[in-house]
Amino acid sequence: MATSTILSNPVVTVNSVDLSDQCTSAVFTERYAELTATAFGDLSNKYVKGLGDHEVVLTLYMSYAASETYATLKSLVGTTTTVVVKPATGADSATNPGFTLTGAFLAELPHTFSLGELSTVDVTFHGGVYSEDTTA
Amino acid sequence: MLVILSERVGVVGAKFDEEAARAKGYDIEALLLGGFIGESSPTTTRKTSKVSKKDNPEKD
Repeated sequence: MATSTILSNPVVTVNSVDLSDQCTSAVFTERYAELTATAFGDLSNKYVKGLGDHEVVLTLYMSYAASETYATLKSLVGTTTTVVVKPATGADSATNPGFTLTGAFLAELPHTFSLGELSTVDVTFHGGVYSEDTTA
Repeated sequence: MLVILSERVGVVGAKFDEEAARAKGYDIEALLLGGFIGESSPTTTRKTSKVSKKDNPEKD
C-alpha cells in the first residue's frame, strides 16, 4: 500500500530563489561511481563507492518576466550554485528532508519555442556536494 | 546593505544576509543581476547649515 504522496507539493529553490510555481518536474539523483573491488577467488563482482556524481534535473516553465525563470537562470550558466528540493512546504525534518546540492554546475540553458504551447525548459545541475537537511 | 526585492527569495524589504548566502553556495551576483536583491537606498537626510548675519560680517 502506498504510504507517501511524493512530490505533490514540493518546494524547489535555485540559488535561493523559490521556483516551485514554475516547476513541473524535479529529479534529484544521488549517485556515486562504482569502483570494482573484485579479486581472485570472488565468484561475483564487488564494488565500493567512488566519487559522488550527483545531479538535479528540473523542468520549468520558461517565463521571461521579471523575477521569474529566465531572470533566475541567466546569470548562472557556466557557474555553480545551490539547488534545494524538498517534498513539501514547511520546515525541514526527517519526513520532509531538504535534498541539497551545493556547488552544482549549470552547463547550458536551452530556449525552446513551439507554436501554441507554453515554453518549458529542462535544466540540469550537475556535480557538487550532496546533503540532506533534516533540521529546521 | 543588501535587501530582498523579490518574494521568491524572502520577505521583500528584509535584510539579505550576504555572508550566510555565500556560505550556502549561492551566487550573489546572479541574484543582483536578476533583480532579486539590491542595495538599500540611503535614508539619512542631509543636515542644512545656517549662517547668521551676525557671524558673517562679509555679508553686511
